[in-house]
Amino acid sequence: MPNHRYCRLFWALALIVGCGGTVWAQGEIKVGLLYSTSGIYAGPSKQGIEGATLAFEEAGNQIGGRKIVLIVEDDEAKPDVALAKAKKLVESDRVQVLMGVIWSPNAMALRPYLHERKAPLVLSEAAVRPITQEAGSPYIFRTSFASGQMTHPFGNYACSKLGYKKIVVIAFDSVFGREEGDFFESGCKQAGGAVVEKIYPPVETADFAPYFARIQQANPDAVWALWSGAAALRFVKQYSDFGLKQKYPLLGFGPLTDEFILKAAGPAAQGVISYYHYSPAIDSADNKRFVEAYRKRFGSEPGVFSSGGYLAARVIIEGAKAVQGDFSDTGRFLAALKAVQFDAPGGKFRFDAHQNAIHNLYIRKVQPGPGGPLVNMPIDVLKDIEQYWPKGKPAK
Amino acid sequence: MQVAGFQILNGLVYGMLLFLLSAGLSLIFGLMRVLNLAHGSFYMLGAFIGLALLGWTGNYWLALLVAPLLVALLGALIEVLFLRPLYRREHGGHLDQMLLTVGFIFVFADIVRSIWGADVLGLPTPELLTGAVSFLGVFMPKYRVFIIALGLALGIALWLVIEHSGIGTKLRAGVDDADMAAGLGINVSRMFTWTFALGVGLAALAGVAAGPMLGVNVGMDVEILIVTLIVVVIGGMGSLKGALLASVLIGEADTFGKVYLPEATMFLIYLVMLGVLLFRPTGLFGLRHQ
Repeated sequence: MPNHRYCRLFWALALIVGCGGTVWAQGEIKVGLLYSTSGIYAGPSKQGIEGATLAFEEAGNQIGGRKIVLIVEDDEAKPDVALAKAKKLVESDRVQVLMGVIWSPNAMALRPYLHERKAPLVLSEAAVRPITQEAGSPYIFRTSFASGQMTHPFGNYACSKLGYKKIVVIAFDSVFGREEGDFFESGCKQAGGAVVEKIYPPVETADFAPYFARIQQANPDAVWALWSGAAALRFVKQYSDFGLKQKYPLLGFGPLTDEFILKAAGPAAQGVISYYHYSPAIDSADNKRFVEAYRKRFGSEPGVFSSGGYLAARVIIEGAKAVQGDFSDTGRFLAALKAVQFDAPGGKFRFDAHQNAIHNLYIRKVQPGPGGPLVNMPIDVLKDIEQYWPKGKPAK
Repeated sequence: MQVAGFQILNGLVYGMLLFLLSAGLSLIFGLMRVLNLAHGSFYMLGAFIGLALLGWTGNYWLALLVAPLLVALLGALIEVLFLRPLYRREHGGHLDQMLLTVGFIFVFADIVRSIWGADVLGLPTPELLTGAVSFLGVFMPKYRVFIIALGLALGIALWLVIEHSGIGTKLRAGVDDADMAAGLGINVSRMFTWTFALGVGLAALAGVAAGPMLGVNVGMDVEILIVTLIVVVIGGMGSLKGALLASVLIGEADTFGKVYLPEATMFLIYLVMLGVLLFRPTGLFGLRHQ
């Protein structure tokens, strides 16, 4: 019967394709991207995934002839979800390496599991301090920074170079927010300044007006703010609406004046001084290439989280290249990651002895760029900032 | 004293936003016994549609007027197509209604995310209202003063319609006893549609009005929903007066709490709710009979 023959032929074909597919699948390099694609970190997560996508595309989506496959999971900025998704990525998708994680408690929740399971993770954002210090693991690398790494030197900078002596701290109420507030204060104190009031509103604060009364009562020289995402836009806009920006200059951590916030807030953001290990306005060939490529690929300006995702992905790519895409020996891959060095958009990239990134810290001011729209223009740079600051010593 | 005046005004601004939301939610529940958990989503939709209209026409006032009308139309469609079939179910289909409106929260959030993306967007302040006014040493952005005026004006308009017009009389009759009202020849079914459209239209208006202050983003829907529910519970389901009073009460409690009791702000709102419910289980102006 012709029908049967066709049927057999079909099954034979399916078998060949199926087997071939499996052989091919074993040749893939799978990278798990763990980001908070829903909730208040949706915007930053999108940027991070885009930055990573760009890096992998630049590498031709393959290393040593093996195809790179990205698997994105949403950790919903909840530690239990992050752990479940990490288990799914490691055990069922069998990814060779994980990257991402914005929300610090998630990073801490993953640590014991990854350590036990010997699964490498390149943290692209979470700044929870101990994970590259007393709670470090050979399997965890961080391309972002430990809390305090940038804020402690900036506190010193604000109260010496910028000359402010009385400062109000306003940061979101979390372990990270409060820790950064303390780091800012200790840096400022070193330079002879003082933090006269610390305000910690909830992360999801919609209206900052009530807190502005407390800033006015304290009557400082300047205000230091730590906000990101939707809350950062609200803060910057309302701070300007209430006329506080003229009275008390606004200083803040990078995400406060992220590129998408400059676009949404407009003139309200002008003049704000922020600090981060990156700005799309950095005047270097490596950065210009990155910004051009990002614009072309995604039609928007790369923000701090875009460069974060890009950095983490580049570290994975460079590490994988060093082992020719062969992940069978985890120890070899880890050693390769530790030794990774390359010219990143923000300057030369490398890890310290504790697998945490060493960065240039850019002091940036919001002002109109060459093309017209507002940019974070670097006005100063502090070189080679490590997580222990001053160099080699714990910051506290 | 200046700080107190500043905070009273801030509390009023927040209170007026809450009022626009809770008035609609409260009326819908009062008349239709539908707890519209997607109320915050209509608030978000209003803001995003307002943003689109503003980008398209460049006119904020047009956006403030037209976006709520479009959302009201959408609300009417949803009432007719989705909610109406549920009224006849057992116990008025309460559980089904809740599930349905919760479902709409996700649907609208995903629609908005796919059209406008996950980034937070800014709704520019209309030129007429940029800048600030200073009154007795209290400094206040003009736009916020406008929000207070808008809330009060709409409150008065709603009160006039509900207490002193033919439609309002029928509406109140429906709230008191829908079956009896239907028996007297009032088209309760059409009344339901109108009320639902009005309620979600008000939420959308609040969304457009809040945009220039709070920004526009996916997530604003759920943020505002919880506080709005608390306001409605405190004010009493179905009472406009209750919604107004409770909105201002929560607005002020929240604002003052943030300054004088910063560690207990979240708790303070629940404390107010607890206090009110202990002495008036149906809320400040809630219906006694159920």
